[in-house]
Amino acid sequence: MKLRCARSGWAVKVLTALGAIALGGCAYTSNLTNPHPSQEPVADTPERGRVLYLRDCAWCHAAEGSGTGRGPDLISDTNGAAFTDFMLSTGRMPINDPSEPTRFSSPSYNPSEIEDLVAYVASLGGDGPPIPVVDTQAGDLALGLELYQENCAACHSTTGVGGALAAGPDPFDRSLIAPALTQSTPVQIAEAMQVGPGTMPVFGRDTFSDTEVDSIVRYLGHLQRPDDRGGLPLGHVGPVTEGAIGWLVGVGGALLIVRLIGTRVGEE
Amino acid sequence: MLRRTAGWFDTRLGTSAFVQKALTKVFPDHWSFMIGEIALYSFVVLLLTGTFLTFFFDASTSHSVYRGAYEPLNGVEVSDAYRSVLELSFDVRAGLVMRQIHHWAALVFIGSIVAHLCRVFFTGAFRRPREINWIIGVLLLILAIFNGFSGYSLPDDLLSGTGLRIAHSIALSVPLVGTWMAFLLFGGEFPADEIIGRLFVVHIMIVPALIIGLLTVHLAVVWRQKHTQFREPGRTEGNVVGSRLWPSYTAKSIGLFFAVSAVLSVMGGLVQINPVWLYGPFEPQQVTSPAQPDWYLGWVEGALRLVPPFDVRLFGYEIPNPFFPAVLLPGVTFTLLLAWPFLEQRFARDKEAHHLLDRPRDHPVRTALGATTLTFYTVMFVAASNDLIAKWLGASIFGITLIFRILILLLPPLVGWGTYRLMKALAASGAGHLSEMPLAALTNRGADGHGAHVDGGKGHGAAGPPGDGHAGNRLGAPAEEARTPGG
Repeated sequence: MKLRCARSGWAVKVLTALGAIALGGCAYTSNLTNPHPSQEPVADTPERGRVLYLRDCAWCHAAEGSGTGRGPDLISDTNGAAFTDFMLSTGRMPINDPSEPTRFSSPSYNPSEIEDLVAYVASLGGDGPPIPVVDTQAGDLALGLELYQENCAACHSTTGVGGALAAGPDPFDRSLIAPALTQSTPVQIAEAMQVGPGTMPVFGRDTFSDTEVDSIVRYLGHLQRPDDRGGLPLGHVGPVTEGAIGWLVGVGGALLIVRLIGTRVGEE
Repeated sequence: MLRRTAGWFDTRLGTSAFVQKALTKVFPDHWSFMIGEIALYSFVVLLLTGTFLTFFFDASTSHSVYRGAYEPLNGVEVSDAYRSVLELSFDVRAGLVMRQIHHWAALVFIGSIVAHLCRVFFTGAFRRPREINWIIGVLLLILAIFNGFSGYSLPDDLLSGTGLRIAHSIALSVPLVGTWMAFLLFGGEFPADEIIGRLFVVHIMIVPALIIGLLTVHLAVVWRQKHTQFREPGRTEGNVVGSRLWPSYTAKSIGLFFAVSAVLSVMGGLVQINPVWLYGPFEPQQVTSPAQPDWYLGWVEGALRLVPPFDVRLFGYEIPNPFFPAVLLPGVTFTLLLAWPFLEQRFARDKEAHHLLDRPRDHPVRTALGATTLTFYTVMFVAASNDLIAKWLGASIFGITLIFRILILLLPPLVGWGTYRLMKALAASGAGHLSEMPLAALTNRGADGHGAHVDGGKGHGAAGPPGDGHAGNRLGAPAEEARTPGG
């Protein structure tokens, strides 16, 4: 449901924003993001990809992948194996309602079902890149750090925890988030670079060589399990959580001590 | 032996009379009077750990190759500043824990200064004759914030470089002189090579020396003017009731030093702060997001994020947008803060000397104004995290910013009004403490009517509960010192 009054004024926008926050909170707690796994399994035949597609995807993307008013086509631009695999293996697709933002979650299909679906969608005629082959051992950690800082950190943050994006035509679009890369697999990262999902630009073969892609993916692997010295990491978001702990534990603890030793025995 | 040494000094300097007087000096007992000491001892910890860090830090933007235990940067050419911080974190024994204690101590140092300032404000301890020490205190706060930022900028990592870029833009935004000023401060076009070296001298020498000097004066003035105290039976404008410096107050204070050091050491040992190795070295063409300053500049960052984009042209000159939130606002903030004792003297028509403190309820207008101001800065402070809040709530960053823009107009007057009503009701109810106030007192509209009018706390003392809560267990009678004018 979306309010589309031409001159609804700022009050409606505030309410929408407040509602958006409330909805976000609800979705987060009630685990409604994954509607499909309850569907009955489909037998593993050569036809399985097509059966799954027609059952779950054709509603919005049309039987031949040409798209409908509810969903984009799957046969132009960067569409193809890499894109389909990325959307399915990160749980971004399928969604229940076309107005829902696509978010990272656990996938609705098992790996062999995803393989069949990817093969079927690829057969529809998209000419986007195939699923990339990643060899993290061939990457160079230092080069990966440099390329990551230069090309990725501005949105996904230096530590890979992601961030909110300010760009976009609709200021109340809730999907404008550079997601955390803390759980992404090497192949998913390489796929995202190839196809540029959502607002992310394409970092294709003409931008990065295979070695460079391997290096970035290797560095991200390092960020996912970094050399975390110094103790409790506080979410790797920097001074915001540090300030909170500084006040709660540091100043708060010191005030508590002062309260204890600064009060005479017998006083309140 | 001790006696002979003391005697040797006494015959030459006449020290014993002074020491005698000093050791028997009386300090009033109230836990909130020790908040300033948290800041003092955090500062001592800062000096100790900071001295250690200077042995290893290399304040230069010349480049050299890092060779050490941090794998992704091993063999990479980075600035000397960044390299030496990596070495401190990974290769120098106890380097990381010293860095972390130093950084936590900085956050707590400024935090306890603000807490101390609030205590002084809400109890009216800044009133005549203590205006001088209020001004010194505010200057110390400004110096502390400045030194915090200069320290934050030293490691030359991508986060602090982003901060320096913002500082550079703020310098540029000053009308007329901005460009010249930015070039003068940074020593050239951003990112100038000079800035790290300059900030280092400022951070480890100039500002700490100023802080030590002002701190000495701050304490000397407290000593000279004697400490304020809350109204209680036996306490008057003419005396000071409390513990003697030796032994009881000395024991408390040394205990506090150890406790503050312990809290900071535990934090430095167990909680990671500013992991610059994850942020990577600063390169001028790179930027990271989220990027926030340390908390004490959060309000300026928040103001930068909240002020809508507009341009002003005055006398043919453009006043760049960041000037308003990042130069004008802090300027007005600290000017008002410095002028507050005089403003209150003028508007409350009270130029008398006060040695007995107000409770917040005794002066509801001041308390309400303070609460309003704190709310205003707190909203800006929280708004500095608008991108993280948007991410955590799964909401749009524009929506969150809009909400903060509304809150900053709505919340401060609302909190101020609520505080005023609460303080009036509390004073009228006669309860000894907020927790003892009956709820009905809040809804009693007569509180600010003609009936129960309370002014300036003059009625207190009789209003307290019988026995004032001190009857039973007091350990010995508190010491008393006469407050003689000037001495």
